[in-house]
Amino acid sequence: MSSKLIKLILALAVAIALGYFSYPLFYGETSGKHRQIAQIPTNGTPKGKDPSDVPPETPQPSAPTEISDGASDDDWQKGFEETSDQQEEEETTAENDTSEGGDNSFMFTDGDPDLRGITEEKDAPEVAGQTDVVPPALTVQREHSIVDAAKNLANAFQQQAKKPTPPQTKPEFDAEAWKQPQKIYKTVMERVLQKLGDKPTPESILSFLGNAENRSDIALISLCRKAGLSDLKDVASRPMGGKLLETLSSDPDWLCNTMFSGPVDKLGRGLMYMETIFQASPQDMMEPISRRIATTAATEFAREGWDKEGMLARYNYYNTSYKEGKLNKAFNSLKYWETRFVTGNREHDTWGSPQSLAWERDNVRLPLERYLDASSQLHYRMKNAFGDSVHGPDYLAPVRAAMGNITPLMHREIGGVCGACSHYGAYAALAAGIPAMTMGEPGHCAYTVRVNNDWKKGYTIFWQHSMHKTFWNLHDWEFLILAQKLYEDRENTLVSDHLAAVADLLAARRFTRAAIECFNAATVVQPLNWPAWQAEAGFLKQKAPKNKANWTDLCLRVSNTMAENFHDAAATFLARYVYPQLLPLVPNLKERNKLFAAFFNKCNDYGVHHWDIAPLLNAQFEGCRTDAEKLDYMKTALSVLMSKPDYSGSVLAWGLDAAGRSAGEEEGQKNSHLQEEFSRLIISAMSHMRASKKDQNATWNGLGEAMCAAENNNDERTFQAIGKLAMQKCKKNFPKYKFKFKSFSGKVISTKGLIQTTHKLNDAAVRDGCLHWGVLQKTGGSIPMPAGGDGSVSVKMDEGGQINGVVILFDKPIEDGQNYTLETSEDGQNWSKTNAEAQLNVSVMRFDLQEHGINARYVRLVKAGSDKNSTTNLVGFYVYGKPNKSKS
Amino acid sequence: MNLIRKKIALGIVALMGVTSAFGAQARSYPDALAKAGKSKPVILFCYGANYDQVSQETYETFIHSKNKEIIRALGKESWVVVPVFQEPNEKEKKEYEKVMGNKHLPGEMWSLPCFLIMDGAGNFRGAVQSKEEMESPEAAATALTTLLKNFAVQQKLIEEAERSNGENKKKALQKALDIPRLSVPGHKSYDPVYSGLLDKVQTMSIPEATDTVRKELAGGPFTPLERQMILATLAGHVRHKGGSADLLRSLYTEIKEIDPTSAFGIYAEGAIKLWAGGGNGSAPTQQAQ
Repeated sequence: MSSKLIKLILALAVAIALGYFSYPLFYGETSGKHRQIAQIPTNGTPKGKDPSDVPPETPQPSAPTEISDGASDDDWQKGFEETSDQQEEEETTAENDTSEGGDNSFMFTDGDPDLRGITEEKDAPEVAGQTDVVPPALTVQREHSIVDAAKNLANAFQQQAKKPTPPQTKPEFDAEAWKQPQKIYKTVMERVLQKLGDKPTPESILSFLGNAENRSDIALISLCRKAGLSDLKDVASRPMGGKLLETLSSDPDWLCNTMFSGPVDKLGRGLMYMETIFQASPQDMMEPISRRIATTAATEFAREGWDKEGMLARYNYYNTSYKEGKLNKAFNSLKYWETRFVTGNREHDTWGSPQSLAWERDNVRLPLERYLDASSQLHYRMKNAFGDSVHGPDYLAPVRAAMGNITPLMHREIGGVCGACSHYGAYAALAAGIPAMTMGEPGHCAYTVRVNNDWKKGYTIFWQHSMHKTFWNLHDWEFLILAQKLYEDRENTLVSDHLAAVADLLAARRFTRAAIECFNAATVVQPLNWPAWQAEAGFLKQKAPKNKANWTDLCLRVSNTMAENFHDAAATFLARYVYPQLLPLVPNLKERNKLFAAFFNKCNDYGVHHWDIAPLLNAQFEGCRTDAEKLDYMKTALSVLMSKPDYSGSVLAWGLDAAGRSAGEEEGQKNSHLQEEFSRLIISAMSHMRASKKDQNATWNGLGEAMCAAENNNDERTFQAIGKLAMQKCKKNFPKYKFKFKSFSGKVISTKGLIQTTHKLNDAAVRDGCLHWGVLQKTGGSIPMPAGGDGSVSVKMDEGGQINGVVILFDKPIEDGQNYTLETSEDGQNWSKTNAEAQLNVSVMRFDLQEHGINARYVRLVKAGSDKNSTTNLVGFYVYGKPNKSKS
Repeated sequence: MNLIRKKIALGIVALMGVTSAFGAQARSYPDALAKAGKSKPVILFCYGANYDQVSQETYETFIHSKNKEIIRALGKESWVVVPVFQEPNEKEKKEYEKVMGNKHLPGEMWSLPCFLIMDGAGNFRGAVQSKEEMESPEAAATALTTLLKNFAVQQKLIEEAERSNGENKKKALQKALDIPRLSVPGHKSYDPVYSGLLDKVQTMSIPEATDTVRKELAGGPFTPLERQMILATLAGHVRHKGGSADLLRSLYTEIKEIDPTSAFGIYAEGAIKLWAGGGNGSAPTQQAQ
């Protein structure tokens, strides 16, 4: 093995070690068959043996490779370039890591032969020793001119939608030609490059895209690059596969809809699936709606990694239903991207089986807005009447055979819990051809149905939704809305997608300047184009990992555009893709805070939807290297976000978590000191919360959220501080009980403690979190008592002590005290049941422990059994006794 | 003269007969309710008017073409056609309001097209809405005819119960509740899962549980489904406790016989096969823990 080859392998190993392979936009190069490396002519066409002669391989997952130590990014880059410069004879295999799932909509990683021979930048000559060769971003002036040019192209797309370009009467590439897809790729690529010229710019590219034939060429190149030439060759090797490729490539409308209607990962398999449908029902594929059903079912099933049989069954269900006129009329006018939500619905516990879908289609036929209530057709029963749990196999077992394993029917007759109710509602809509999906919430399942382009929620309890169908493997609600808004703006998005596709091929041909400008233009035209942003970030990471100006520009552009309305999406982008590269390049905290401020300035409220700000704050916080920086950052974050009512509670809760984590990271005085400083900062920030009448609600809600965070962190000091502050600022929100009950001897030793419930708190309960503190005070408060199942409310006392008795007050009369037991603990982990019986007097429960001699720091009330209808709250919890002497 | 009068009178009666056959359709639901009075049903034919081809075809076949079987099934009862619109425009909203006034369609309407049986007070009583029953005029007419006949019987029983007290009232109500597929207004539905019976039974020995469940059943009045569910708590408990296959089989059989075609009847049939020796005297295939 030559020393150069060893260098190449070493370089690759270092790249892997540095995590380059974990990013989807890696230019994969591993050793393989021998091949000749092409020379790069100045006019944009490779010299020597054309690299297009060698087909791009099908994307493969990255293989484990030997990892070498001690190499820096620069070493890796250098190694890569040196090896390339030598024009090694090794063939390369594509590497396409999709570990981030859905993050690889645009890629130049599929073993593109163009790239492998090209060692120089085509349009941005390298400076010796410089690795960051990416030119600066577009000027504002150019952005304007691009937007203007894009408008013309958007109009062209609009015209095309009204009057689709007819298929070619004589296909340029027939089934026979597709047997050699590398030749097709080469022909089209050369044609495109020739038309683009030596120095393509976004403006010239937009002009080029104004021609429908050029757009088709771009779509065709994308098809080759996404599917991979070996998969194309495989498909074309079968008669119907060849015919499919011939038909698809000669129909600009179909090709455009296939390539530019959302992600097309694993397109090679998608084409094989389409071939299967084509084989089964060739005539149907000529009918526009059947073709839409086929294309979306095939691409979605392939993308999700689902099996061919399921795909065919799904296609048959929708195609037959459509032809029989059994789908909702709204289905007929869905576009390709919308149809993917329908035909690509997730199969779960046979909810998506043809039998179940057909049953719901025929028995839950409703106008689409009524599907949001369809979940109420089921009876909520955790246990069925026979006492079998819904989580066990026996719940539906006796009816499965007789009811044909039709899941919705079985649940409607026997019952179910939130999962069944939500699936019933969502799949009823899906069965009728309406976009819908289920979504996870904390301990709950809800669903959403699209009504008039608006995603409406059904059966929801919490604001946190984890969507069960996504385009980019990002499950927050906001990404569903982002996808909706992105593809709803069809023409601009098509312009943007085409620009990104051109950028992709330019990047492959190492037109670095043109590629970055083109990526940039794609997001100028459509700032919501998440895949285009990702592609740009990936390109920058590859070409300019340490170019502060490029990364700063990207950070600011995202903050100024996408963050305008989509705070969560922009924050996710910054935290995942920008900060890890940018923050190490910005050592100055003030400078960093300015970058953060650019984002926060856009966030006056939650924007599209309530979202979790913690991951963003964590990403920013992780950029701080010293304790002083951490404190300074936290101070800034608190001061900026506490003035924004929507975020005040979240930032407090995050601060408490961060402080807790910081203390937990290391033992030692230094970190306890840091935690103390954090806590002081947070309490100080809270005390500055405005409590004018206008802000009263926001203050109360924010403190409530922080209170619950303090409970979760088991932090009684902050819990008490928040409680006192809430009493000071929002006194009116506390009840004014005047309890009368028989107490026990000794002091109330629980007042300065912390109370927690195992009951799952909903949003409203979190907002009223400060009332938990009141439960320990003589004024009283409110905290939910779990309905049963050994749920509990526990009190952690400041120092603990000798316990004489406990008095617990309920908000309503309690009929039977038998289900309640009192337990105590020294450490909050190991609990002992007391033998004391609950003495019940209407809503007052007493436990006399005077004869028990218990010394404990924790006390909890446990409820056994289950009684779903019996929701009670504790309004007072008082532990009487003699406190232990303070350890301090 | 008398003969002429008589002929005219007969003609009017005949005409009224014809009119009533085709003319019991009311323009609006409130009108139909007013015409029906307390004891008569009002039938709503609801269909998806602007989004559902199946509904529109059903409307054409059943109503617009005045299908004889459907008209015969509707008889002289008051009925209304309710067009249900998806994302209605202003014109459609007005059209709907014209028919429904300020009344709402009941939550028990699970699918369209359907026939809903309401009483004169506007209570939902029953529906013909499954695919099997709505896919042909014959099937729909058969189901509708049965429901309307049963409605008349049930209504009499309800009125009898209203006039009675004590045990007689309970008996009349029980008979009314026994009528399949029609609900009785004012009957508070009973679910042993929510009433606490299920949890209570599960803590008992089998004899105690049997006693408790039998007492509960005697309490009534209950619908057939409610009786099945009450018995289900016992059957499930016997199975979980590892009770005898014979006892289990007899309980499942009792549940099944209340209404063999109901979901719980089907469940009981399946449970006999799965857990009670298949009903042929063999040992249970799966014994509870």
